[in-house]
Amino acid sequence: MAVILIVEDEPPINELLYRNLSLVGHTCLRAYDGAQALRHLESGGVDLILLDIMLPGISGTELIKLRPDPDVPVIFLTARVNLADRVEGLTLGADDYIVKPFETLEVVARVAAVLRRARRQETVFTLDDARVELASREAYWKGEPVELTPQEFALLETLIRNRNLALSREKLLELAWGYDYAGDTRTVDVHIQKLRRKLGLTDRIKTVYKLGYRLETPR
Amino acid sequence: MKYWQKIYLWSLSLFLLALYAGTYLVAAESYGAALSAERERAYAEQGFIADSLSKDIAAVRARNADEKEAVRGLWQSYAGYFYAQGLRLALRAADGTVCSNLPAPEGAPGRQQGEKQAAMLYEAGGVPYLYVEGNAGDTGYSVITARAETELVARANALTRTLVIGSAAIAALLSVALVLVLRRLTQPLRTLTHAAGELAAGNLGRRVSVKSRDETGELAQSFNGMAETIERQIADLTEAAQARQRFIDGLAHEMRTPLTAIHGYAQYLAGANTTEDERLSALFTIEKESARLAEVSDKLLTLARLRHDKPVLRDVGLKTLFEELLTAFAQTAAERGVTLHADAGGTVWRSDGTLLYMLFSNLVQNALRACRPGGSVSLAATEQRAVVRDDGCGMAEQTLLHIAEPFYRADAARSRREGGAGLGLSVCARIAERLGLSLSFESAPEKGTAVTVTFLQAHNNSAPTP
Repeated sequence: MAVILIVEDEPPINELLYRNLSLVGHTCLRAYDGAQALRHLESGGVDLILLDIMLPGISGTELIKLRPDPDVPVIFLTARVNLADRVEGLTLGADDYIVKPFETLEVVARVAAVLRRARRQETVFTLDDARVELASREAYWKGEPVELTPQEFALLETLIRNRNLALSREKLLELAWGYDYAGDTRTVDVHIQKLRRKLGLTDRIKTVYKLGYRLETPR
Repeated sequence: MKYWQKIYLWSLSLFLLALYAGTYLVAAESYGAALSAERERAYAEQGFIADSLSKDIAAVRARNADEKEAVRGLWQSYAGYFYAQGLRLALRAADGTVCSNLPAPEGAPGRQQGEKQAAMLYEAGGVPYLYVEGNAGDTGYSVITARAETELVARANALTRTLVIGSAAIAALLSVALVLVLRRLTQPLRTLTHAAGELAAGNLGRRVSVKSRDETGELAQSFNGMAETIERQIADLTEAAQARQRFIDGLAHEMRTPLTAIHGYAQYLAGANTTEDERLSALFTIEKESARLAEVSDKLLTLARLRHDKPVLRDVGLKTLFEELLTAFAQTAAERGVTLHADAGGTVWRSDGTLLYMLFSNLVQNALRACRPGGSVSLAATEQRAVVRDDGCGMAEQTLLHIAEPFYRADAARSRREGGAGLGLSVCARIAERLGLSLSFESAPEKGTAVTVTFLQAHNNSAPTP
């Protein structure tokens, strides 16, 4: 569970990011301008900043220089597709950038990737009788170790990182095993069945009609 | 070859031609004159000698002496006497016998029939001699004199030499002076060529300063005028392109934000584990953001229509128009707790009622948005101007400069919350332009804003005077 500060002046976009990142288990703080963002940063405890470049008052590029703790990773949100702006963002010390309009899953994936690089990711996930040690790649059911193949574990991790969001079979394939994995979408179904059985998550890993699968956690 | 070089070669060769022709004529004329003077003298000399001889021969014939011997004696004494004076003498009898000390006896000039005297210049042994032949009276003898004309020829040669050297010196001087003069005269042309090259290379600010009032001066003036026009038009084009780019950037941003939201919430609704409340609020957001898109597209259409449609002018009673506005905005004003009142008296403007309504409705909407609860918005009109005044948050001077730019927002977050597209004042500015009205803004932060619409009667030639 990471603490993410969302700095975005457009209320509907800010809300959208807030909802989705909260759903996948992050704790979110929200700011609508630079001054508000600075106040949040000064209180500390922020693991990652999602920062819009075009902000009223203090702009995103200024804010990144002003942040009290320069170790906090930053992902820029930008409406501009101009390459120069991206380069500027990255040279300023941003860890990544996301161009609007964005896909929700892309934001979640990039946030996860930056958190992993910064070693600020959650390491343990528990749900019902299942416990997953994400760092050591071990799973337990009612305290007993469960044997998972690397493919199964990768799929499980993908579901956990995107919990409460529906993932299509194609997306699961891509995110868990990479584009070049030589399986088809039925392989996903087979592995999902195995995960449900081995970890007792039959009710938690939901089949979403016409979409795919979703790991649901109590909210 | 350069222009000045062509002029140089042509003028130099023409001049040299004239110079040498002149020189030649002068030399020939002066030589001819000297020669003819010399010939006259020789004629006189020969005449005198021939005359004396004829008398002596007549005397000899009267004495009946041996004529041949006597004549020879005469020639000897004459020839001896004149030789000392540099004159050679020959005496030819009718039978062809000749007594002569001439340098070349054959060289006697042939006389035409009936001619008294004849002269010719003949060179013998490297020395020019002037021969003159004439009859010695009616004795049947002819007398030939020959005088060395070394001096005459030497003078003629000296003159020729002087002329040749002089004209060569003049030619040399001229060829140098001509280069300098031509270079100087064509300097403005080089300046212009250089400037035109720079202009072509993109230095649009380049001007030339040619002071002369001849053709190059005129050319320079035309050049500067041309450069001026090019620079102005390029600047206009650049400005127009930038304005268009700003508009497109604004439009892209204005469309991308609601689209991002709509797309994101649709995905959220489709795939996220949500509660009923969350689903409803996501739907409301989608609805609101699509309304925003619709607002932008409406305003864009209005702007486009205003560009093409011709205003329909008729008498518009502002009192009625303001009352319609009050009715239309009554609910909004009440919701915000803002009082709205209007005073138009009996003001009538000759204008387009629909466009005027659109203009004032945009201004009133802005005014209402600026107001806090408890604020007030007033509309007032006279024959010359109408004022929409509010006591809301106002704007800084810096903001006022940009408010008519498309998608510019004084307070972006608040404007979007209120559902503004950032195009209201662009529409107002366009309407004002179409109707020949002028808009002026007066505002200070926290003091409120007053927008004055000034009615300029003579804006449109199709508008009949009241």
